Amino acid sequence: MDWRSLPMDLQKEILSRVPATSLARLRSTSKQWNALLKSANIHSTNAPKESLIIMLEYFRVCLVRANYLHELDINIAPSVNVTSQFYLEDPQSKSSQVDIRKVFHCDGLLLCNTEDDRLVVCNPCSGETK
Amino acid sequence: MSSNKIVLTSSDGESFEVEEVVARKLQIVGHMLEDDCVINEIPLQNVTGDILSMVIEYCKTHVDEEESEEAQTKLKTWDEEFMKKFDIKTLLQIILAANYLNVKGLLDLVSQTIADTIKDYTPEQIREVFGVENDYTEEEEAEVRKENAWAFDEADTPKP
Repeated sequence: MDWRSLPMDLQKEILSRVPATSLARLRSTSKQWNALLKSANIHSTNAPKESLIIMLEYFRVCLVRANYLHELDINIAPSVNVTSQFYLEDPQSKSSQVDIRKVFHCDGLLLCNTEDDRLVVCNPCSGETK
Repeated sequence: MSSNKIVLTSSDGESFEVEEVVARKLQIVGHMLEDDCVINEIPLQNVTGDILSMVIEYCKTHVDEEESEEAQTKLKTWDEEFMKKFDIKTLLQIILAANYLNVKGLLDLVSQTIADTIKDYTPEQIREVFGVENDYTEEEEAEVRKENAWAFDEADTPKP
């Protein structure tokens, strides 16, 4: 019993449950599989459509929203937008923002390595810095 | 629900006598029974006896799906063990049957099981197991592999 005996909707039903990394690997199986995996709806049901990423831009911590809604057609690049920039007060001089060189995050808190080599912990929800 | 018996006959002439509640788990049968309530023998053209017997085994186990967490866990364990009995080619036959007979739970279960198997396959294994012909030229194949090189990191070597 071969794969091609399955109707297209069953092929898609199965492949929609395979993780994206495996699908990318399987694109080199054959031209037909490549077309099938590129063709849509695969993953439209269970893949995340959007994710939020924390990154740095000009020494400020930003939230970036990556949008994969175009995944239905993988020839269209996902869109990436900076949605907000955190205002992180310098704990030493309350009036200015702190310049950040590196940022790490864990459990909703940010650990920042500042431009002048200090470590600052921030709670982005409350805006507190220490 | 009545304990009326229904006879299901496979494409190769094997007959299975099952209770009506079990037969109704096959939605195709359910619809036939609704259209005409006096049938007690139903021929199923697209399923062989060996596959039909497995579908019936699934339906018998799932005939009263209790809500309780304990019952659900027990069913889930049964499902997992049930799926382990079959090789991938048999699973393809079961999914076709589940689709034709319209058994939603089994369709979901088998889809997921096949997907879980496929996810660890290399392209070479897919071709071999599913009889897929490689119609790429060497250059084309290398090109597609290059585009997706990031996905090959962990699983480049075929598993035994």
